[in-house]
Amino acid sequence: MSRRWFAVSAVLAASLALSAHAADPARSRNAELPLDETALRAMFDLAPGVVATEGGGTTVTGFTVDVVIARIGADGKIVTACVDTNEAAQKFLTAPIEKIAKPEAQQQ
Amino acid sequence: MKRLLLSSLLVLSATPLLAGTGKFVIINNDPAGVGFNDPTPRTPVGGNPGTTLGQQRMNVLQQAAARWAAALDTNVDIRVRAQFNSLECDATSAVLASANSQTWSESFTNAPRPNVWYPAALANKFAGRDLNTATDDIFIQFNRDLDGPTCFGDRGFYYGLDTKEGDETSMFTTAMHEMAHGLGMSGRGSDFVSNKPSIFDIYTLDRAAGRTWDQLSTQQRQISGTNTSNLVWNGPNVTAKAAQTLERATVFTVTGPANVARNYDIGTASFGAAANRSAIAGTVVAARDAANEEGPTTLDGCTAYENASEVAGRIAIVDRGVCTFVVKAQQAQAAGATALVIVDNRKDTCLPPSMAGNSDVVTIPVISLTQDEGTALRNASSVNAMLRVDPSRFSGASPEGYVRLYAPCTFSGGSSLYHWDTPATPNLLMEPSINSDLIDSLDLSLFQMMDIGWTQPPRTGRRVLHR
Repeated sequence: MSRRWFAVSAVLAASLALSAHAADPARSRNAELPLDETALRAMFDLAPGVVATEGGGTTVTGFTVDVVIARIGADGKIVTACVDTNEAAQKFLTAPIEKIAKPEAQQQ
Repeated sequence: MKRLLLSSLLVLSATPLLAGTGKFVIINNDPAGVGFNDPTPRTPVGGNPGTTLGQQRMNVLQQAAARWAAALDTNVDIRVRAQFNSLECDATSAVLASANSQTWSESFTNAPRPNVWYPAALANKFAGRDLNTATDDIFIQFNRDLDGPTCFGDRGFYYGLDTKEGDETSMFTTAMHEMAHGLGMSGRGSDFVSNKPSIFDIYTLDRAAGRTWDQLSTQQRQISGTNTSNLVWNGPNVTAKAAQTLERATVFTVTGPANVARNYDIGTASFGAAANRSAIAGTVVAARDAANEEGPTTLDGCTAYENASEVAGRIAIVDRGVCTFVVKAQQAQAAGATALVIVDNRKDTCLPPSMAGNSDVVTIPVISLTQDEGTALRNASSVNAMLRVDPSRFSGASPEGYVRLYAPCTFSGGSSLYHWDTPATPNLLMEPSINSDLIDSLDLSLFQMMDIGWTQPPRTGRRVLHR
């Protein structure tokens, strides 16, 4: 198997696996538990890899994924944050509720 | 084979094509009965005529794609693979959506710059063909559980097209935002692939270093990514449009003593006199109140000032915290202050906070400063200052006129280089929050696309296919 086709196969397999996992209706939800860090991390950790090389050019995967996450603030309003790292996501999700209010919503 | 299978199973529809030969092709990747195919009956909402949940979702995505399609020109189809998936959420937190350009290419035929990574759709435009037929250009997914009973309380997506989402989150705005990431408001962060920059990095300027990101080392870029207020976009199209898009900046100008004399960025309040309509000048005086149950320090300004006679007719300065901004403002006004400066009590973003609250009583302007800057003013003696609109500066832009990128000094509040900075006024589509007051506008993000190489069609309108 050539390097190119190996890479293409790996990307397709990873893509299909991600889709299958994400679409699995059997995944349980528990409203009392915080968001699963492993699942969140997986959203950002795309495997880098070369998918094509031709004519002197290269095509790769593994660049940034931008993820919009949201919390309900202390005032009941939705606060969103678009993040591109798991660290930023965790920081937003674990911040004290009064600190994640949208700038326009801070009362004190 | 996968693509052929999809094409054979799905119906194709289109809107008129007015320029170029490329189309936005939305590939509905959901299985029957869920996501974009959810048959749950719905009442049409906010200009969205769909009568099932799936139809409404697809209508929103098509409308968002049409908005971008009308603005960008290419002869190569832009393939957007879209899904509604079961993503993470609990009662008060949720993943709403994600997007990315699935591949990036460099040094391809007709690449404008060698050794620079371009997102798939843009690379295809330059190459004049699909450089990687095995993978769709953009992947975008949304959380389908958001419309369920346990995920994120009762806060679902709003599927109207009229930006009247109220307390919900607009899928339309979210989709427009995420598509921008897929089209080119993105990159690889500070860690370059093969030591080559993305096209985004070419225009990412660190004002303090005087260099763009492609000219910095990895370590320098990591530091630059938290260089609040100093990371800017220096592309000519965005810079040229900043003056037409952003309001003029209101600044707090300190004229003396010399060691603190300069312009300070401020946060504004939703109550009291509007800062941008207030021409206040005077001496800054630290207010002093009793340390008591209403406020444990003498600097919080939560109770009546003990030095009201010193504050009267001057600009009061107090610390943030303990009581609301409105209470602090009422105390300052009662003491006769002409304006109130509130010093932030945290360093999460290195930006002065905006302040919410309602009051029919407060009539003086109230502004905020960062903790470091406010503390420096408090510790200085005989500070003279004025609150004024600076005709030479724009909100969310540097003094040179470059629009600032979001570079919080910590990761708090969400963090991504690929957004405009939050002081931009009015709010912009590509700020790190999906703001509820956005209108159906691509604002500066369209010109960011122009800077990286996209072109606009001679007329608006581009075909959007739904498969």
